[in-house]
Amino acid sequence: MSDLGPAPPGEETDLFAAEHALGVLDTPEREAAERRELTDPVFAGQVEGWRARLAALLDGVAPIAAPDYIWTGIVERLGALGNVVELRLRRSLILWRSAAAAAAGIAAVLALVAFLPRREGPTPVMTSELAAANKGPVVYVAMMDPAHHRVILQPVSMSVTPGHSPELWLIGADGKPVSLGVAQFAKPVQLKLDKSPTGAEVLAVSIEPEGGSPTGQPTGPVVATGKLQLL
Amino acid sequence: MAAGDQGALQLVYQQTSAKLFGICLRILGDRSEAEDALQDIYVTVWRRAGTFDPGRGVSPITWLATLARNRAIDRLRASKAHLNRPIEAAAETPDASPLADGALVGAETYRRMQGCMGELEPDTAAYIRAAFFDGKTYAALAEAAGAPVGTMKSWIRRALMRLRACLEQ
Repeated sequence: MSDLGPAPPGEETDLFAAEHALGVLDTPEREAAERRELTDPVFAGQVEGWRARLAALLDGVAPIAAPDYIWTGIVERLGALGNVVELRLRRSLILWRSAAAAAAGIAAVLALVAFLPRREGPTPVMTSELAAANKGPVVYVAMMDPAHHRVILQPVSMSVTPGHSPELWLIGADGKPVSLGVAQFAKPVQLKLDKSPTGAEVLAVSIEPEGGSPTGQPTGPVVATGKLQLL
Repeated sequence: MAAGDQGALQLVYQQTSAKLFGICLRILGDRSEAEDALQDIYVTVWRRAGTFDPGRGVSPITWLATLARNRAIDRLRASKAHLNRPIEAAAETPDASPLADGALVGAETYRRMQGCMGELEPDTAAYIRAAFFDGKTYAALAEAAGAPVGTMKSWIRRALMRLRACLEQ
């Protein structure tokens, strides 16, 4: 690089990131860049930045409808993957929840689909977005997995009330809340699920004294409710 | 796969596959290769969705498009088909109706990028496109241009710095 003169160290790293994102490096250099991406977060961030910049070039490529049998092939290959896909719902939900509104639909579907536990029986997994009243923000996301007798409750935008505990309720057709257990304000929890929901129930979270409702019924304000949805 | 999963996957596929197929075709230049690449990409996507990080300000469609481009380039390199592709091909390929699919295309970022690419030397802009869309390395670009690799490297690096400055304006 004699004709450019020595670049400052930060600049040099960013240029290397740019070259890697553009794809002009030869094989040994590219492999070195790939290794560095894994170990050097600053470099990885710079590569990501360049990928995002250069992605604008892709906006100029005209969309072309793919033939129908492509989709069929994807379904077959995913079916064959089976249990390889692990449950990593917690992490993926945290990562995806802040996606831009226009993209949130795609993002949420991708996250849930990719990390859904493979079903062993006919019992379907259901999810629910628990939102504040009057179409307020989503406060928790729940995933009910009756085949494995569990509910995962992931906080999305929950504020902490000191000295209290959030509690999750399943409300059936009779309108009577059944406690599914005490959750947390900031961390996901996995609760035991004894019965198989029909899908017609509603989930609700109330704020209870620390450790849960003393009466077995909600005593504090209900901060979020959500219907169950089949995935 | 259960019916519910399939419906969800299909939604994402329907919203994004034409865009990604266009990218695969543009890079691979071969329909059957592009179809194989598209399948690979979606299988990868379902398994790796958790590696997407919206905190970095990249939209899912940009993430998907970049993943598609990188996968297609990997495939192109493996097939060596790109070795014989002339540089001009990348420069001449028209960016046909880029704004037709308004829902997915970042019209504003694309216009900006076009503007910034237009400020580069036309030859250098063509080299950048050839690297991005045809997987040309410094060595391949230098050979095609009849220039030393070091010279090509400084042209590209200078152009990348100008692009960055222009895009940040």
